[in-house]
Amino acid sequence: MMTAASDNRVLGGVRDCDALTARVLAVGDLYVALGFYTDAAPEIRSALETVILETRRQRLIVAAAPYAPSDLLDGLSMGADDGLALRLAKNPATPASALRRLLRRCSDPRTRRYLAAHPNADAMILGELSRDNVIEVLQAVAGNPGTSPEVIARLAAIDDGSIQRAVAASQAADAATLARLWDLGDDWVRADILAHPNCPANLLAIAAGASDVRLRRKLAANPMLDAEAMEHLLADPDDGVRAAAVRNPAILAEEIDAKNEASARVRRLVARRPKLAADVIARLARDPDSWVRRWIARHPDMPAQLLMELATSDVPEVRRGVARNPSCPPHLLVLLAADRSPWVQAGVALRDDAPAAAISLLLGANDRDVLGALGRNRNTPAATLEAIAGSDDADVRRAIVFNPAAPQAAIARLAGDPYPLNRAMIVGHAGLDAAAVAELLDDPEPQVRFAAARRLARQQPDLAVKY
Amino acid sequence: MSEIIVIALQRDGELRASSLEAVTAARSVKQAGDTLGVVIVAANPQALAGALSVEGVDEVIAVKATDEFQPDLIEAVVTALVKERKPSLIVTPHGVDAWSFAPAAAIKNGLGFATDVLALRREGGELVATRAGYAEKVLMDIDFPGKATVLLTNRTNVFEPAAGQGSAKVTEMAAPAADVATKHEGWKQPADAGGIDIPGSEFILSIGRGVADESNVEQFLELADKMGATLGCSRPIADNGWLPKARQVGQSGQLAASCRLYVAMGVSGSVQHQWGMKHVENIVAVNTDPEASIFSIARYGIVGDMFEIASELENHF
Repeated sequence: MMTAASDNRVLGGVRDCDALTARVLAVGDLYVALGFYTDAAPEIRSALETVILETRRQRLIVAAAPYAPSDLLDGLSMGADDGLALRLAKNPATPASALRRLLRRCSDPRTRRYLAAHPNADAMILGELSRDNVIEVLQAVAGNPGTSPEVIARLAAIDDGSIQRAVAASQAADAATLARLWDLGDDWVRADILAHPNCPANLLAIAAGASDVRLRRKLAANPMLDAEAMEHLLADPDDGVRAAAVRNPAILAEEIDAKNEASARVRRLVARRPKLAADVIARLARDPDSWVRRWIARHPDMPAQLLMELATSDVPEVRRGVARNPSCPPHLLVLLAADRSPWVQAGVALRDDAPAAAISLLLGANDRDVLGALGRNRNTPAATLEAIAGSDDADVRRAIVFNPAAPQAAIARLAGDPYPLNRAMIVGHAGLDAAAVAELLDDPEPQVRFAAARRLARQQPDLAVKY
Repeated sequence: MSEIIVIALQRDGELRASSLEAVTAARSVKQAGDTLGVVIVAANPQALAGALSVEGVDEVIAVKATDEFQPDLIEAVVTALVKERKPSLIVTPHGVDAWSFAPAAAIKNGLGFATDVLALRREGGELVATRAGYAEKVLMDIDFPGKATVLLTNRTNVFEPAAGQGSAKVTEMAAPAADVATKHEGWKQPADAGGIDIPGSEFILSIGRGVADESNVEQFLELADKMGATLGCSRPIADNGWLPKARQVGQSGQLAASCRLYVAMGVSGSVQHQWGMKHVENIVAVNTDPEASIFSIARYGIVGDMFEIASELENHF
């Protein structure tokens, strides 16, 4: 494969990094300039900023763009007015330094709420906002996963249901905080406390005998429950409680035996479990409920003999489950490639480990799901991939984007695809040569131009050292 | 007293179900003394007349011509009817057929005109049509001052199909000469969706990237089944081959044309996805990211984990 760094051909009229930069500045395209910004040297960045931040409208676009470089957002936060500050506070890419700057002169409660909920808000920001007098700001602090145990403990004392629920769900809430909250909160708050891994043992014991099923269901989801408590909950009369217990990742395979389980809902959940005893798998494979069989057909520990049995099911989704099972033997994949249901065939076509005999059985298919799956498969012959790239179905053509072994002709065709999203996505394909990427800098769609510029910038080491 | 006319449509000799929805739309503004006629252009229009003789229809006007899609001919029929009968209102279903003849017929005959009409009413005897504007963001009431005849296309799946046995007289109308400038090459049928009907579904539960893994998809198929919903998805899910492309909602996928409740779980709400569902009146969004675009068009939003919400829903169905 040829990359831009070693490519001496004309790149859409651009021969080298200097010319490339000059062209970006001359054209004045916001999205191309944004694409180049992150990988550019400081001097080039300054020049690009004149393009990117030229108008207020552009500054507002950049402030709200989650793909905008954090350095650029940091710079925008200096002297930001209320409108710009709000967009920056909402943007998940805004760095902590910018958030601190915004907080220092923020009078708008809405902006403070977004700062309090921001994933990059640090301890200083959250600590300061935890003393805010606006309840929505405090709710946001309580719901922020970065809030410290000390702040969470302080917030727990506030008489507000939303804050108390957020505290009860916070991973930073310690046992003492949860114990205090148990006395203050309503049943919904108590239910959340019971699901918390730091829930005090005495509360777990109380809840085990609670008449309210909401409490028992949440209790059954607690990952710190011991084997005795889990056994008790697995025998609960309410199937919602048993379902929550079966879902609990802490439960061990040997603790689950669906032999006497009357509820199909619970058996379906058992069939989803990653670890199951061999006899449980065998029993579920012959369960009268087809959803149970659909789930268990995908189980990686399913023996080949039972997979063979399920592959003859009347329910296409069960056969599809077999086709998607990572343990499905090659001879069974060949059998399923000739299945009467295209959805089952597509399940085989998605597999890079499908034997050549299975793939060849699928080459004459005209179903769009089968074609889409073949388009992704690295073992599909080049001629078929080229035909898929020329399909009249935009969703089928796009499969080429995900195929690392796609031939040049198919990739080039996608670069000229009439559907803009397909052009934007093919820019990320390693097989698209630099000249084709450079041509996409002139694409009518902003997302395509941005993606092309981003890729060229990453492949142009010169860009970072020039000037 | 005036005449209202519905232009019924057929495809390959089969009556389009939307024709009866247009009859309901027309009936909703029929005043005392008004008559309602339904026109059908087909190779054998008499064979379709019975199905159009529903309650409230006074006359079925049979135009013997061709079953082929011939917009120039229907445009000529409209022109002839306006000239001869001077109807106050003409209604026809909104869709590819109407797109091909209605605007031209309206311009040529100087008619009042509105497309994709969602509701009709009279205000002081004057006709008012409601349609959406600015990409479904607003509803607009449109009146037609000074227009003797108004041509409207009604949105499909909004008006109930007209029913009830009628006793309409059947009148034959000679096909007018038409200046045929177009040639119909044939219909392209949509890909076989294997029984999945996103456009026809009133309740869609849709999943997006938040589902994270193919092994989790089955859970939402099961939930949709329990809730009586059709499972839809966003593009990445169909691109990964986790659900059939027939379930993909969006610009290159399906339009949730009949949907009244759309529950989007773990869907960020890209522009492409919104194209297929933003018009739905009741959108419920579930996403862990409070800034996800889907919340900007949702009537109800839950900032939370889609799996936790799904588990709660399972307790209720």
